[in-house]
Amino acid sequence: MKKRTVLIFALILLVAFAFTSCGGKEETSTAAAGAEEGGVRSYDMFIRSQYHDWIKELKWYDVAEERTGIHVNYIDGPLEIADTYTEVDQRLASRTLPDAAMLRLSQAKVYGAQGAFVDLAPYIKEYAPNIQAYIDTHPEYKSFITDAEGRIFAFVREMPVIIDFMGYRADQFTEAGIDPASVRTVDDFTNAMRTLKAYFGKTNPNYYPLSGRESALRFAYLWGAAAYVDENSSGGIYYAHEKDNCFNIKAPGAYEWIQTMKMWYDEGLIDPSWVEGTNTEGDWEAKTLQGDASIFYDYYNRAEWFMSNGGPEVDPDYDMQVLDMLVDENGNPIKAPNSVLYGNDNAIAVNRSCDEETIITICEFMDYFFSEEGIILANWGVEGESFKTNEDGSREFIADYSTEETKPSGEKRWSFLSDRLTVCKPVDLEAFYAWNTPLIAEAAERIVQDENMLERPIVVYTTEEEQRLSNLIASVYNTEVARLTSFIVGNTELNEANWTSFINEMDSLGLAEIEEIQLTAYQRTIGQ
Amino acid sequence: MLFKLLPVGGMVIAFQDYSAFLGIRGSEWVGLENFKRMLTDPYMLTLVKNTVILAVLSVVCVFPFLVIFSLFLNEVRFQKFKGTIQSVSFLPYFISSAVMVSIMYTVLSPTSGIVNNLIVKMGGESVNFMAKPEWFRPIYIFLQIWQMLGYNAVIYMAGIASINGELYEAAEVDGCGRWGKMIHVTLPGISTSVITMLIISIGNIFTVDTDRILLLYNASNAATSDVIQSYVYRIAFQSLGFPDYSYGTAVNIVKSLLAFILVIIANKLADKYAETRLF
Repeated sequence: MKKRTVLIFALILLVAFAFTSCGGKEETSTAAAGAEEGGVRSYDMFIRSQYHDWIKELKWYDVAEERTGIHVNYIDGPLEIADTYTEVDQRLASRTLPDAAMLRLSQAKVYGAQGAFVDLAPYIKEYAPNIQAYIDTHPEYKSFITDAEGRIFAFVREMPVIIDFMGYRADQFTEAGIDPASVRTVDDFTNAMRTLKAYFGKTNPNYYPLSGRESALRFAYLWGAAAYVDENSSGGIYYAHEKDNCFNIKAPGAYEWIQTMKMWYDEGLIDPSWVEGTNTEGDWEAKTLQGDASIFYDYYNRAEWFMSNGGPEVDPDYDMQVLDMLVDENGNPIKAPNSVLYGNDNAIAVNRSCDEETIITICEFMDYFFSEEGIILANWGVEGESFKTNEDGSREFIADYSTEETKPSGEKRWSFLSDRLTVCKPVDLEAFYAWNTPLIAEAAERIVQDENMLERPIVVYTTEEEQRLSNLIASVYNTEVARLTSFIVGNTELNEANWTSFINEMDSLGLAEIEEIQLTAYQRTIGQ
Repeated sequence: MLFKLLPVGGMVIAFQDYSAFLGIRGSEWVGLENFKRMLTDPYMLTLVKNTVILAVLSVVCVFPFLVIFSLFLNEVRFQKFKGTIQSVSFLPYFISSAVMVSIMYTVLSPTSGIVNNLIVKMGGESVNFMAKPEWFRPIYIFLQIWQMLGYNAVIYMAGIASINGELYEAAEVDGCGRWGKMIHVTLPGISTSVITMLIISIGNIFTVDTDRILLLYNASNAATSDVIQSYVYRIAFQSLGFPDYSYGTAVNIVKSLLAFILVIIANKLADKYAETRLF
């Protein structure tokens, strides 16, 4: 009997313990928040570990902490960004989220409305005049970060407008007798790949002119089949795919896009393992470094990466360059998708359990990077040390990109790679592209032009819309990719009937609803 | 109790719109909404089909192979050789799915893998096995056998060791050879273990190895490799800032209930036809 009583008591305790840890409403206030440490105010912030590693190396960041008198104790999250967001959930459940946290804006809005995060709007108004000024002058930013009730649950960074570049091995082009200037249209591009294949493929069975990483379904824009949303309609998955892997299977050119990719695949012009989805980023890098591939379409500074990560050591003639944008039959540049100014990723929210002083400290630190001095510091560094001002008022880096960016990991350096999250700040695009090797700086000047970029409007979704989109995309996007790949590799015959049935299947799976939500959200956004 | 039974209480989130911040007590109650959503999800049919085919193949192909391997291993006379085989076959059990899949990628690589090198040397054309939907299931099954071979052998060998030696002597007197002894003595002798393992396998019929699936999954083989677990993983953990734990749990509850029904049926059938049962 006694044994039984003890057992029941233990069971009750266990159940009570389990339910307590499953999330009550207890607030566990973080210690030392906003504390003065030898005259320096500080707060804790949860962040992806890689971002912290980058921050630790930045000379200008140290200057910023010195100037503001605020120190941030970063708490490392996982290495992968998706895992970092998941850990925010776990920390919320276990009440172990520190003063501030890096998360997705959608997370901030959902949990903020439930009381997890501070509504920053009144604090910004009072303690962050520079951010307030930015909000006032950037209505799209305001509508992006504000919820339906006018609350702001996270700071969102401005992102540089990035467009992917087409990199090519200039030395291999020359060897195969191709003049890069003659590669202007998609047909020229295909013919150049055929020439390369004929030349290098005869001695190297593993040679495929075009290779890459992640998804190979990145060329839809060449046939006008990029996902989009405008005031009248929406096509494809635009949400979270404004730049990468964005395609619209209902576009008039979509069928031809897949037809051409199939032709590239069948003729061995494109790396089959890339199309099939079995190669890794490392595989692609190795192939491109050792001459098994000559062309890629990837991140804007990748050409430089190959030049400074072994290319010339593998082959002294190794010369990676950036191709001009391809043009259509009328000679007009084919516009490519580019990143949007504000994204859902890497937002920074403040824990509701923070005391008033810590919230103010965080706001003041964030605000510094929206001040004129802060913007210059985070984009150009310190005058006389990393940049100089010319007589005409323009700025020029005096710190050498190659010297600084090749310093061993962990060593302090000047670095202004604004595509990385360091702090939320307005981006000086001139500085962003100037902070590169001459190869990329020249290519950026040539390519990053409005005439080469598609309209990528900022769309503000309601929480319900985002939730629905998120769930629909989990099945629709993967199925689209699988079916398109199946057409390209020949597992499914590519014909009009199968294509129509594919579109119908995707619509019934939720593509039509996705497009409808995107259109509604955009119409509401422009209405605002 | 602590690790198996208590977490079952957490399944209540399947009936909620669970929020990590609000917790079980604070999250909104949505009743059967997640279950309705599952039943009306147009993609669910494909996922169920892929899952069931894979699970049935796992039982039909893997299970007999493991029993046969143990029976033949028992017939090996040289004890040192037998011990070595048993140890070597047991080793993969301790290797993670990530490593095993990496080994498969290396062995089956279309450019440098040993299998494709052999195919090319024999005049054939290189095949990217990892990208072929029709090859996904055989590769999955092969990995399953490879990983579970030694583990199951230990269980069956223990059963075989407990068989009364006099039965073998009696069988010999009755004129049984090695083959006859294996069929008429060894196999019935381990029938209880076999049926127990079979019922456990049926119980796990919807529990495909998610790690292995996610590692083998790619755009080309998605037609066969996208299963309930990989979908739930996408919905619950990789969605765009809205991890849907409730829906993932609802799907898992249905999956567990179906598996439980199958276990009951298998147990009844075992009791009726083999006069042995698990519970």
